[in-house]
Amino acid sequence: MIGNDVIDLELAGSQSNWRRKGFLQKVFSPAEQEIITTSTDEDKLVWLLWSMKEAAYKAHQREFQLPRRLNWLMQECSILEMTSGNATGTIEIEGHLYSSSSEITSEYIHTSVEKIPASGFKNVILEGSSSAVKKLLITKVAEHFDVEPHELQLKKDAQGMPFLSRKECIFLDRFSFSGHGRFSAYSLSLINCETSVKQS
Amino acid sequence: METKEIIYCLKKIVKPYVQNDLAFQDFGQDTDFIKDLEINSANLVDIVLDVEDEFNIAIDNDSMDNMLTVNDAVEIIKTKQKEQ
Repeated sequence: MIGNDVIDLELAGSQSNWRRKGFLQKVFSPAEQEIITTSTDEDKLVWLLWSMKEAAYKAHQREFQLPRRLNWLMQECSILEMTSGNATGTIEIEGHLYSSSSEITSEYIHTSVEKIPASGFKNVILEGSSSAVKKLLITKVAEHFDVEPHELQLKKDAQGMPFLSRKECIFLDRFSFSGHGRFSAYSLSLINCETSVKQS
Repeated sequence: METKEIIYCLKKIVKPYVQNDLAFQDFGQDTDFIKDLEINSANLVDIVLDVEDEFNIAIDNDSMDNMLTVNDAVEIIKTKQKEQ
């Protein structure tokens, strides 16, 4: 399953003071705290690891139909590679390993997470509303499967997770939405998704 | 501490982080921090820390895990206060 998380860095900076006493300890393991405190850009690392945790839990929650939880320490992040604009890493949750890829700019961080490593995401991030990004996803999926966009309807399951339905059947659920501040984003996996398309 | 009193304190703690003011008007036991008040998930960490300070308790990870609604928070605060 797939999960994503976008962070508007300007808003995060004004909304949260991660330097307050106790904050890092509630969210990050000693190893993760070390990644942050030994970095030259602590803010960036805090939000990168945060987005990895949020995106990974979304994927994990969906994979195993889990309830929402407030527990950031159950996700242990490792960074495999990091450049100025990108990062890849892994997140372990309850014995399950997820792979992440993040895009980092001065404005935002967008992380996509999937259980299968490097299966390839189609990511879109835009400065705009969540409805605009939902519309873009529908257009993209319709184009890929050669169906009419109006046939696809965006719905939510009992857990509140979005899926696309076509002719009253689940059509696709390997995607995730996220929004924060100025930005809205989706991650979509189209690799091997023929097997996950449940058609009547 | 009475439930009513705890809820009153929680309302004060939560206020600066609320994104949905309309839902905040109906603040009560069933209020969900994320679904109703649309509180940013990073600010939930702030709320946990503020609750610890205000009630002078330590909220461990397992307890924090279930802190999704006002009622969840009330129960956690009561349990932790009893333990002391």
